[in-house]
Amino acid sequence: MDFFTNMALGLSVALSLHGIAYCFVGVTLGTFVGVLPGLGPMASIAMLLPLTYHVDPTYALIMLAGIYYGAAYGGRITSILLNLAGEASSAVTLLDGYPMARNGRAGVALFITAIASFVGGIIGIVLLATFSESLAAAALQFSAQEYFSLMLLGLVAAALLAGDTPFRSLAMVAFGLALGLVGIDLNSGTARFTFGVPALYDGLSLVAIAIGLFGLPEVMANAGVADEHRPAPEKITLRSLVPTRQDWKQAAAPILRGSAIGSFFGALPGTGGVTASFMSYAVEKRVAKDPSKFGKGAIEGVAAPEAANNSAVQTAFIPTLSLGIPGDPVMALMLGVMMVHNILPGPNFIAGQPELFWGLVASFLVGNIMLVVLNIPLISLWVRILHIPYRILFPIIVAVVCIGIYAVNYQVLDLVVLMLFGLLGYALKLMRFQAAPLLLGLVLGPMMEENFRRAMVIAGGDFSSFVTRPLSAIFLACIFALLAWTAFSSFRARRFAASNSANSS
Amino acid sequence: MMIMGRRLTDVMAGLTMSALGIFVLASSSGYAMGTARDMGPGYFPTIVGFALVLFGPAIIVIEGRNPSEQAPEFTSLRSILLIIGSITAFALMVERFGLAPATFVAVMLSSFADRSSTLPFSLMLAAIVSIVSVLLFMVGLGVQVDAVRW
Repeated sequence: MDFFTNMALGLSVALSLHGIAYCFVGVTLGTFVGVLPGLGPMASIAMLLPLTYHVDPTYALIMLAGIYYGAAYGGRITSILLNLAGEASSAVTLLDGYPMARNGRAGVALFITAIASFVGGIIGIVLLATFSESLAAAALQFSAQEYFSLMLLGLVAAALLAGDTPFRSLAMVAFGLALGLVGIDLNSGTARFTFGVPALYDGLSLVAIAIGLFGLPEVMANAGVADEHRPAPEKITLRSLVPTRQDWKQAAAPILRGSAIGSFFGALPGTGGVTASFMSYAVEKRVAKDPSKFGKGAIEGVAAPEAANNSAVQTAFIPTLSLGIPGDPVMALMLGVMMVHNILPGPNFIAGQPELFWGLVASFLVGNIMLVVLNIPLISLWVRILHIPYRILFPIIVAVVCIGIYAVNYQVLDLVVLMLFGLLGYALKLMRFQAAPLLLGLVLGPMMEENFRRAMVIAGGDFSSFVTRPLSAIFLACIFALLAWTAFSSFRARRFAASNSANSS
Repeated sequence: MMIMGRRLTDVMAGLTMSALGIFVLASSSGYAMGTARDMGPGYFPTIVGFALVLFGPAIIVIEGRNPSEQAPEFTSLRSILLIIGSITAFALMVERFGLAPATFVAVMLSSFADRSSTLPFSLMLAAIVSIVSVLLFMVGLGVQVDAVRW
């Protein structure tokens, strides 16, 4: 099938009444949670997951994806207007976005970043549509060894690139793998880590864990924040949005560079919008004729990271849909939802369920167009959302979470799991652990064990098969390179810190 | 509020992970190991358990030497207790009394996480949210539960 037939098929799904409706709900909710500081996309997707169990999987995915890329649009509003990151990947945008707002150019910053987000998003979608099929075709050659090594690479990359605490992240991955073991072992029928509770035979509820770890700590941290302590933004008029010819000229190249950088990091396992936006900001600073204007309201400094962030969000779907291997925790969650609906992304997914894959791709297109409308003419609506009192918002969230979790399986046990993981999530936060690698481990764990066992059966118990198969060897080499690089850079950082403290004392 | 020492945080983090690892190892010793060629249900968990045990000292020794400046953020005990309390209340009530009363109590409790909430405000919010959510979930999404059960 050629590209146009595929897109026509996709559009027939995305432009159906349900397709449009769920896409609209998704991107609107996404912008909403992106705008609200203290409520990240991870937490909100997790909390809205239970709702999608009652919806046809195609539309459920369209909606969830909409929340994900919608949040990438919404986060920038808070960054620019309040100097607060609405979500992590918008943290870079405030460096120049807030100074622009202080200079009375908030409208221009919002307009240009909306355009940057749209261009980045569209470029990401085009790459998703072009490369997914060929990547899936290549992946058909993979055997269990390659899958295992690739998943290991994804986990290690996610852990090491997540922050400055690599061992904590690796421990979280291992913890996630352990949690993934709970339930009946499919090969032997042995019940593992179930402690005699029959309800645990099917494993722990992914949704309950995700909401417990990501949602509840955010709800607990923000529910008590009195409303008068929250900053309020100024009003934005439509007239103030219009950029000058000079603005367009300055922003055009950074938008394209940002999209390229974002597309690359989005498709890589373990990196995503956050890395991409930081990288593109660094690149802009380096190529600029006058780097000193960054941090004082440079339009390049908002355009590039937002383009990068949004293209990364779209290309993150490439490995998830064509290999079945999620690159970041949000994608892991998406994969979890698909598995609940008995959809298994992987090399056969695009060919086997073209209406779902192309429907999703087409809905991204539709969603991005909706987002431009939501974010340019309707911008003042979102600014007003920053005024919603938390004492109304958070009790509503608690109600939706409770009912949603319970209604997935009608099991009170899931509520207990939710609560325990909420407390665990808070305890982990106190010990400075990040929950994101845990979720990746949890979703990938069962697949990794399965492929590990199968690989060893194929190889007759010979561990060297992971190294003698070339592709698997390349993936493993990447893991070692990552480990070596992390060790080197932490060593250098310590030397640097040591010499600094020696100088100052 | 007391800030946990960075050193103590690292030690606790490491010990917790090693303890988890030992727990995983102990539990998986009850499952058949099998051989590398034909792995039993205990093989993979044992590897994971060992990894967890080893990451513990690595966190304490290596990451402890390179401490981050960030102190952990404490959440107010009031909102932790009220949010956990409202989920507990929901869990205890939903099968006994039905969806609407459970939601009502959960919303009321959680609204008091904010000190500025007053009783009339909470009652009103709880009433509205429980009516709307019953409509949304039962009529809108077709969730099969009783709104009120006696």
